[in-house]
Amino acid sequence: MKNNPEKKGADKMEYELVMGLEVHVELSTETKLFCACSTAFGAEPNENVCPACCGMPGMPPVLNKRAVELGVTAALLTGCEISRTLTFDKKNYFYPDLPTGYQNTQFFNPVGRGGSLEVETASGKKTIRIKQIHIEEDAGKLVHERGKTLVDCNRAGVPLIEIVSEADFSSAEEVTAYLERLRALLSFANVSDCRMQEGSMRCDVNLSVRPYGETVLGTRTEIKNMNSLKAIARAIEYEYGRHTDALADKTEVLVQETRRWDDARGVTYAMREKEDATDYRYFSNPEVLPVALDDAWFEQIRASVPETSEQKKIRFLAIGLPEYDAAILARTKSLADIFDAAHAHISEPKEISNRIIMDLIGMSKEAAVALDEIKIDGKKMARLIGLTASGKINRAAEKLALYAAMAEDADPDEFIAARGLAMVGGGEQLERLADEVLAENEKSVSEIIGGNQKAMGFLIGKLMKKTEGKADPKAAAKIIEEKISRIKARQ
Amino acid sequence: MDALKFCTDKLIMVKGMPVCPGVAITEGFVSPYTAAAVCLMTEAGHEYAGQTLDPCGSVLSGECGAALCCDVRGIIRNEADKKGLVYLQPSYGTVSRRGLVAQMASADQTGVAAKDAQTAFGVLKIISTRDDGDGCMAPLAEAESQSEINIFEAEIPFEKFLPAVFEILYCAETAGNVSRFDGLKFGSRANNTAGLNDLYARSRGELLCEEWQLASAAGALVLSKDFFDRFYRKAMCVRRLFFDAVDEMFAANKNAVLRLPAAYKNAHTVTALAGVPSLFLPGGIRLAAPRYKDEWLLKASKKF
Repeated sequence: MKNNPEKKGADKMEYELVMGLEVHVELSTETKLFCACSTAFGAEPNENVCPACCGMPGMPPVLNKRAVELGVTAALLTGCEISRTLTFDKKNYFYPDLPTGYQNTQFFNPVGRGGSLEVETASGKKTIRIKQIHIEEDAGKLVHERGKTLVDCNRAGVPLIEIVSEADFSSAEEVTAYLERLRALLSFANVSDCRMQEGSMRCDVNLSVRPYGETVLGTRTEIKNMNSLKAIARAIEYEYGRHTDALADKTEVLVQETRRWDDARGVTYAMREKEDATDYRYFSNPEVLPVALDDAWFEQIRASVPETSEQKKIRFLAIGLPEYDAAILARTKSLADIFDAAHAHISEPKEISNRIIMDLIGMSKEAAVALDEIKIDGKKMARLIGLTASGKINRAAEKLALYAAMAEDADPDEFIAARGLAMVGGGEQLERLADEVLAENEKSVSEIIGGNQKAMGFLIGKLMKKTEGKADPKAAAKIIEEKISRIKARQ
Repeated sequence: MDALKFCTDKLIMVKGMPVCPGVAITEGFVSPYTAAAVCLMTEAGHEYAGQTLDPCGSVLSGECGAALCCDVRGIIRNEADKKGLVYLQPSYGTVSRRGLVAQMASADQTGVAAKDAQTAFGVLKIISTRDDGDGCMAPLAEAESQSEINIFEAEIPFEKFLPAVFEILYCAETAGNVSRFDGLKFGSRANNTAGLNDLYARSRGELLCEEWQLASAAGALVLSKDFFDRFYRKAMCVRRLFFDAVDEMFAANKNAVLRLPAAYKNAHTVTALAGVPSLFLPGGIRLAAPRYKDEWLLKASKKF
């Protein structure tokens, strides 16, 4: 059914959109949930497989503890209550991408329950309740080629968490804000890289529409197959339009179904319905013994949960950074890490922040390094800030050395020595050069002594030129002034 | 123990040999690996004589000194009993299940058929090496110096429920484990099928052995939404109660093994549901010991 664009405006006034999300996130473990195969993305088909994840008999599962830890981390980050005994259940169904005939999941006892996440949109802040988070294994992938279907088991057995929200969303903006928030939270904590394009973050939207004031939910459809935030927002808009048209104009009868998003055509379409309602016949997997999350292990996981973006911002504000700086640094983990590393060596937060925001961000673009991959030794950065502050180098030299430290991990002192960037300090050299300047410009000297201070700038400029710009301008000015006043006194 | 020849039953996988010989749906499926227990035996210098559908016959004829079997339903045990052989079913988790075709995974365990208890325990000593490839391995047993082991007789707790509980759990777990044999991979499929569902249904309908078909059908039933609470959940609850009651029974009889009545037909349900070791000796002698006290059975066997 086509949406009626003329009616749309009116419909939106009358109908409330209600949505809940199921977000699947691939955990950033090295190996799969129950075998030692790699989880690396982009391998040749069936490269990362073994008899266990191919579903062969006689291969008992061995639980990946890291996956458990990451699942617990995700549950902690979203304020869930943590289950202290971890169990896994079998979800039974037949499909070619499921080699064992069952998927290991946490049906009876999810790792996390009852959490929430606060999202912010143009219309304000809102709390989205999280019903549960459970750990499960991914299925393989079917590749359709020249009339044949091929099975790639690389993804089979890769650990996932599914984050199930309550039906608390009422706009596409809220959904987008929630997903961005989840992505920031989970990628910050290294739970997952959350790359939608690579499928390491996937989102199914359960959507229904009802007249405002109605308490009973409308007919629900589940939308799948969106691989970007933009696609999710478009799919929601489309489905909302389709539902409101159906309700307002009775153009079609809505049925509870699963629909796929076609990004090219900008429409959703019903997936072919299964013949019967599926009964997954869940039961606890006796091959995976319950794992007790004892206090020691739990505390170890809790202690290793990295600071969230919000927590970082609060900390940065507390050590005296302005709001603007704190927000920029906290938003990108690499920048926050650089800040912390440098701050461990030098106690001037604003100086460090200036270098990151004014120099490094621009340098990363120049060097074609993604912002979240930018690296620099904090100690080297601190050293350079210190060198500038003490007048050993000037800002121009510092920037060159900073770039070299970022791009080639160059040592600041070696770099400055090799390039001859050190400033000509107070010392004898500057004295000697100042004497030369005064001797070469007697006319200007007598003008100054005669009361015309204008020539002062000219002499300082000459001295700077003689030092090839490596003198501290203040020191240069000071030495010229001193020398002239001495000449004056002698006269 | 002197070097001996040993064979395996159909559920133990050996590289280059058919998986589950005699089952149509696995026909053509050659095992890509060898079961952990078989590897341990050959590494210890014992000669592997091959797969057999009649492990007890093979031991009785003297062809093999021992047979490694997976006997969760007690069929091989009863066969050994009839032939006057010894059958040792170790504690659950003592022998790695790597390479064992899983059926009732919560009870699957490699056992040993032999002519005497000494040989059976000699084999167990070799195959009970810990294996990180099986997440259900038992904790390492502590060394102990129990010299005197007594024998007691007692009523089996929950006895009348055990066969039903066992069947429900056996079917549920086996249904899940044999669903990998779906006609799509590992062996054979039905001919001239129309579409995926037909391929699954007809392959499993035509080629799965009767035992696995029954288990699949009954397992699907006891796990279905409508019957889960009445069958599966209830069976799990009784199993838990039974498991604890067995522990209490042994705790009340210090340093002693249980002698089951000769007429007791469901000895396999006791070992399967409580995970305790048992030893069948010729003449209808059936002994069961506390979990991980397998050695007590050998000591007790010397009294007969």
